[in-house]
This record gives sequence, structure tokens and C-alpha cells, in this order.
Amino acid sequence: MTTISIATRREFLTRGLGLVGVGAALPQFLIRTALAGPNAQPGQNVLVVLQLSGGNDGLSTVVPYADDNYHRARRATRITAEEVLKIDRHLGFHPNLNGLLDLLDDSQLSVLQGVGYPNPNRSHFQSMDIWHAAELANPRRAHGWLGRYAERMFGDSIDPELAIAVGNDQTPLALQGANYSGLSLQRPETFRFFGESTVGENYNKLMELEQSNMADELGYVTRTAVAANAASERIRQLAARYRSTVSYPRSALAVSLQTVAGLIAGGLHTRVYYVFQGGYDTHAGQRLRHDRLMRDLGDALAAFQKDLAAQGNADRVLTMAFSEFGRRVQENGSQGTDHGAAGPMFLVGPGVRAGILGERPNLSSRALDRGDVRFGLDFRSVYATMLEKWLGAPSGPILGEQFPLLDCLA
Amino acid sequence: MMINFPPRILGIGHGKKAIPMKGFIRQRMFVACMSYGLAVVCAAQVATADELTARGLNRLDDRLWSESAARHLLFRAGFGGSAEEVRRLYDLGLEGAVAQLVHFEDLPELTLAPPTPPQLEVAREQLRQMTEQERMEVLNRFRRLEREYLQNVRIWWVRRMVATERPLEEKLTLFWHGHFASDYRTVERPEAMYRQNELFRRHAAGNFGRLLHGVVRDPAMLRYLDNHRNVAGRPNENLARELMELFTMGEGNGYTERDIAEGARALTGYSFQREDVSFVFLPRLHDRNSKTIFGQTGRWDGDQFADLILKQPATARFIARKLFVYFVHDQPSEEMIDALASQLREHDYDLKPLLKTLFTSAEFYSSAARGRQIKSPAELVIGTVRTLQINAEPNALLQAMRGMGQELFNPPNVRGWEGGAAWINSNSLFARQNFVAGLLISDQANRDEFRRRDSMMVRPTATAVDWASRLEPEGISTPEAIVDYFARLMLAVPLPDEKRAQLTAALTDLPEATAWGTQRRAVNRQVARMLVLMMTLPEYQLN
Repeated sequence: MTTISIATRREFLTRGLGLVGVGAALPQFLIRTALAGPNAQPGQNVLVVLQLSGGNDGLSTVVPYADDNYHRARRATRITAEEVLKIDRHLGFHPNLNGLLDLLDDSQLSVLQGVGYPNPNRSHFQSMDIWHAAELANPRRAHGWLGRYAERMFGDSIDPELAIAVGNDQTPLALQGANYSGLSLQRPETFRFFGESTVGENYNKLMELEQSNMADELGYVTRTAVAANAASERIRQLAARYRSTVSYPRSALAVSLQTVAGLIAGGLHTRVYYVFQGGYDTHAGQRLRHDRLMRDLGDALAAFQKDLAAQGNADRVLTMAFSEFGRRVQENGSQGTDHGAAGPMFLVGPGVRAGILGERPNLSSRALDRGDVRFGLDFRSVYATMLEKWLGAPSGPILGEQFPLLDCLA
Repeated sequence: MMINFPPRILGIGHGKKAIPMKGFIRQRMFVACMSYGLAVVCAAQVATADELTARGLNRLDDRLWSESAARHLLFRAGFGGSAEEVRRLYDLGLEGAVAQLVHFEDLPELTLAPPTPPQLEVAREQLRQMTEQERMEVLNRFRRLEREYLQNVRIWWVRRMVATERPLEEKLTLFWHGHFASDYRTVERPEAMYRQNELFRRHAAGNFGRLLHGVVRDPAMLRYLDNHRNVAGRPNENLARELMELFTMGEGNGYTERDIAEGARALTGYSFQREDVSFVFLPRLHDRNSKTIFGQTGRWDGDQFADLILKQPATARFIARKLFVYFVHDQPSEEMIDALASQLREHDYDLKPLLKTLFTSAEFYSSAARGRQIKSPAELVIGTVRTLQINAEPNALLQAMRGMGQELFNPPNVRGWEGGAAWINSNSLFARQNFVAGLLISDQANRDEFRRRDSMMVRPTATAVDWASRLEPEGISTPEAIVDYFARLMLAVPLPDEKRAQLTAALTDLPEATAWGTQRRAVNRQVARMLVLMMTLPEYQLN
């Protein structure tokens, strides 16, 4: 067991970002130089993590339309064989996922079925933390799996632009290492200090002062401020320069993906982007709400892939979509579904081995885990595969255990 | 580079009155001593007083009560305040200051009428006779009015936070909103959100047991956690689970999945009237069979379930810890929590004794606490306008808070706002810096820039402040004195020398004191700009 060190929040704060050792001080121009270090280069593979927050109903996403158990359990929320976009004789996509069907036909989509983990937790918070930390017991005490990746691969000269979360209030736990927390931004054009025209000169001088007292809360805030300022100008310039030739749908997810596309096009050396689509907690009136989410998901991903292809960057970008859990097989009394267990993941991009991977969920009551889909693929195997085969990082030390790799990349 | 004195060197022998020092040096040392010196003194006391150690929290020595300590109290138990308010609090002494904050009912309540909720323009029965299109039009108009009403409730609350003389009341109301989190996105009935807010305010520093009983009968909560769907024969566990996991006992602390299932049955039939969103108990939908919760069997209903929860030792500990972390720091010892929890139980969950213990404790004023919290958006935004006495548009304050990740009546999830380091990332830091720039710089150039860049940003809304007229009575006119004056008021941690020098340099063009009468605009502009710089510092994010 390795890098999953147990840390309290205070410990986490005191250890420092790694740009500067605790107690040491560096003026900002030196930090800038360190940021331009040789570690992460433009042109390398990029992983985009797409989080479907709230627990996506996998059975309404990749529909086992030929399974009688499905139709029996889902009188109100089911998708009929007539509606479904057929993949094969057993499975079909949700009718609004034309975008994904096209990507599958185009050999750019891998569907991983029944992904989960042992002893599934049905709390949003616990299960989301488990996915973020790749740690089943006490995930809140561990660091994020991508934060650990950044620290393992890029050591002390950690660059805030390595991992960027777009479109969320909070930095996801996944990106937070012991010393590293990446960047968060809503939109590039607002990723800046607005007082520039009036107090800009003095503001910059203050930011470039030697930073003493890098421990504790003050150190944490200072490091975040230094990182934000170091990255602000470049990110805005790159994003402003890009003119997309593709039209995206109107949605928060599409805006986030378009921002990512712009930064990739600009040549930013970021290795990991993190984006979000919320609203999947469909306890009641599921059909209407889920239908809308599916339309948004499929169309936004299709536009993103088209954009990347037009840029000539599609080959080095892979998008991985997950949700904290699937939903209970038996629908509830409110035309909705409650928290469940395993669900599907998607890998998108020319770099994937297209097709359906993993066992089709067995919905017979004997096969279920307390009424939920039992997992066949461990999500940590998917992470391990992304780390080893896509990002070129050793998965064992990062995940704390060697998980079998999957044959899901081309 | 600044030399960081180890706490002991600074603390020993540098009592604020012991060594005469002049002007700003004394003031600055004073801040440093207050934040570092206490730890040393307190450590010595803890080591000698076994009885207090056993209880976990000893009282602050009255000799350590100071203006700086009063400032800390006002900024933690409330949302900050002017130099004058700090002074008034200091003059009351430790006991008096804490009593005034905690027994806020003795002070007059702010006279500010809550907004009036909209009424549907037709009777509900009439709706059914309308065509689909007519009905949609009526309902859409009504929903728009409801959204306006909710925004007016937010404005009403923010005005209270800004203007109240009972700051702990509002600070605790916000605490309970984050603790018993419900959101408008799900509840969709703004009137219910308003009433829930009044429930939190009514019991803010009252009795936790009564508050809990109020919560299991609160329409917004019942809607938020689906309890209106929790009926005999088809139980919904949502409320029962969160009631124990997040609201009272904490995950894994003395309850089982069976307790959740049985508790859910106890809560069946606790619902609300659709029309006026008032609580209703529906006996026919209530499961009247016996339930076994925490090993005790009876025909429990929702209120009896709440009583059973209040008897669990985990509950007092969980609430004591959460209040300690909210007001003091995030590393309480088990002894401290034990002491607070037993005090809570001894007083039947009355919150005032616990709050007094917290605010008079040496721990509260120690270096482990002071300047060690990251301000919430509410603390930053409300604190800035309260402390600097700025008139700002409430809508803009709300917008700023939302941009920093705290939208009132819309916490991110049932766990509420996570707080602490989670408030800070590169995006929210810019939002924080831009808030102060938008608030204080009223130049046309700045206004244009904000308007051009992003209509969502907080636009400058404050009426221009006459800083000169505030500084003159204090006899403050040099750049150094101005920087020190505001640093002492605005910052919870010492201002490092280099940053002080840089802020002073920003006032280079400040007119001489003799010219302030004629060059008022120049003075005010210079001071405002220096203040913006001070408040963009990482130091200003701490409380």
C-alpha cells in the first residue's frame, strides 16, 4: 500500500502545494518558470472525466430491451423495444442518445457494462467519494485518484494547469492530492482579477511578493491564489483565440465541453479535464427528466468529438463518463427509481476499442444485490487502464493495488 | 523575506501593556501578540489546572480580554462590525460581551417586514375548468411571482444580516440552514423556505430538541426528503436516514439500517397541505404498528422518534462538535466535545450555556482558532459591508455570494455547505477579489470593465464612501497609519512587513493632511484602492 496517506484536513493544508516547500519562499516569477517545466508537454494524451451527478439510471441509458425482467420491473419508466435505438438483439440506447449511437458506429465509443465495486454504498456522498478517491473504506480520508496521479508523475514541480475542473463551484475530490488541487474555472473570460485597470500594478506586485508562512490555511489560500494568477492570463488568451467551427447544444455540459475543446485547441499542456452534468437523482417523474438529460448528454458529446476532430486533436483525447451509482431495478411508486448499485460507463474517442464490454446485467431477482444490479467490472480496473494505457502512469502505486487492466483501448 | 517568530519568542514578555511602543508598531505587535501569545499562556494554565483539563475547556483569563479579542468574538459570533462596534463590545468585558451576543433577545429586533407571498390569481377549483393553455399561462405567471418572492426573501435575509444588532441570531440561522439543509430547487415552494428560515431563527440559540421537533414537522424538509411520499405499507427512508446520518447522530454512530427502516415507519403520515404548505399529520397514512428503534419497542410516531434520537449519547456529541467547528476550529479534542456534550444534556439541549462556554473559553481565543478559519462567502460579503459600513445593493451581495459558491436557500445538497478549505479554489478566489473591486472602485473605467466582461459579475453598487471623514476623527492621515488602521480592523492575522510596505506604497500620491479638505475626492479614491488591495490578499480570506 502506498500513496493513500491518511490525512486530516489540517494536515492536508499544512503540507503545501509542492510549488514551494513548507517554510520556503519563492517569488512568483520563479514559480512561473517552474510551471513551464519539462514535465507536461503539449501534444500528449488528454483524459476528460465526465461526472453524471446524482446516480444515472443505467437501465434507461443502455436499455436491455429484450429482457422481460426489465419490463416487469419498470412499468412506468421503461423504454419500449419500439423506442430504443438498437445496438444488438439485447441492448439499445435511450432514444435520445443518437449522438452515442453514431459514435459507436464510427468506432469511437466503448460501453462498459455493470461497473461498480464490492459492497456498494447507496449514499450519494459516500459513493461519490469512493469513486473520487478510488478507496472503498474511508474515502474522505484519502486523496483523489487524479490528484495522486499528478503528484506521482510530476513530483514537486507541480503545475496547476495539469488538471482543470470546468463548470463547478467546488474542486472535485478526485483532483485533490496531498499537496495538489489543480485549477477550477467556470468560464475562461471571468477567470481573472477585474480590478486590473485601476489597481492592477500594485496587485501584481503584491502577488509577486515572496510568500512567507506557507503553512496552514493561509498557505493553502496563498498557494491557490498564486496558482490562479499564474494560469489566468494564459487560459484566457488560449480560450479567446479559439473559434469553434462546430455548433454545440445549449446546456451547462455543452458549455463546459466547449471550454475544454478551446483549451485543448490552444495547446495547453493539461493532462486531465473534469466536467459535470447534474440532475440524475430521479426519484420521481423520471422519464421526462431523464429524457432531457440523455438528449443533452448525447448531443454535447457528439459536438465535442466533432470539434476535436476538426481541430485534429481527437486522437489524443479520451472522455470517460461515470456516475456514482445506477438505480434500483424495481421502480418506486412515484414513477421514479431509488438509489442502486452498478451502472454503465462510457469511453469516447478514436482511441477506444469500440463496442460493448462486460457482462449484460442479470436482472433476475436471484442475481440482484439487494434489488440492485450486481457489479461485473470494478471501476478501479477502468481507472488502472486509463492510467497505464492512456496517461502512461503506473496504476499500482497510484491506486494502492494492482487491478487487472481492461481491453478497452485500441 | 519576513522572519516568522516562533510563537514563544513573540509571546513571552510582550504583553500589550508591558513594553511601551510607539504608534503603528505597538498596534501591529498587539495583533501578533494576541494571536500568538495566548497559546503560551493557555498552555501553562492547562498544565496546572487538572480540573479544567478534565472538563476540556477552561475559561479565558479576564486579563487577556482585549480589543483584539473582542474583534475576534464579533467576527466569529456575528459577521464583523466597525471599529466603533468592536470598541463597544470590548468595553463590556468578556462576560458582558458574550452575554450581550448570546442573550440577543434582550436587544430590539430589526423592524423589517418580510415580503408578502404571491397569491394564485384564481381559486384552485377554477383552474380545473380552464383549458390547458389558460391554466399554463396562469401557473407560469404564478411561478414567476414565486421566484420573485423567493428573491425578495433572500434580500430580506441579507438585509437582516447586514443591519441586525443581534448578529449571533442570524449567524446561527445560517448555521441551521446549512445543518438542516433543504433547497428551493427541490422544494419549489418559496413560502415553505421562508417559514423554515423563521423556524431556524426562532430556535437559533434556543433548544435543540424543540428545533428538531420543528424540523420533523417542517413542510420544506418533509418535501425535500420525500416524506410526503412516506406512507404506511410503502415507507420512504429518505428523511429517517438523513435525520440520523446528517442531522443528529452522524454516520456510523449508534444506529443501524433496521433503525432507519423502523424510523421511516414512525415518520409515515407526516406530510403537508398542498394548498398552503402547512404541516399535516395524516392518521390514515401513518403506520400504527409497533416499531423497534434503538432496541426500544412501541407504537412510535415521528415526534417520539425524535425524542428517542435526543436520548442517544451520539446526538449531543454530534451537535456539540458541529457547533464547535463552526465557531472555533476544526480540531476539537475528544475531551472538549465530551464536556460540551454533557453540558448540552445537563441543560436538556438548551444551546445558550454551550454557546457561552464556547465564547468565553480560552480555546476560542487561542492561536489554534484565531485567523484559522476560511471565511464563508456570507462572512466575507456581509462582513465586508458591515465592517466598512458600506451601503450596497442586497441583490449584488447575493449575486456575489452565489458566485463564491453560497446561494441562500440552495445549498449544494442535503449535507449543506462543506465549508473550510472547500470554499477556496482558483475560481472562487477570483470571485472574492472581484467582489471587493466591484464594491469599492466606483471609477467609470472600472464600471465599464465589469459591464463589458461579464454581466454576471457583481457590478459596483456601493454609494461612494467618504473615507476621509472617517479617518479624520481618528487623527489618521499618513499612509502608514491608514494601512495599520484598516489592517487591525479588517485582518484576523498579522499583515507581513512586505505587504504592509506595498500597501503603503499604494498610497504614495495621498494628499497631505492639510490638503484633505480641498482634495477629498483624491483622498477617497486613494484609500478605496488601497482597501481593495488589502482585501484581495489571502490574509483577508481568513477569519
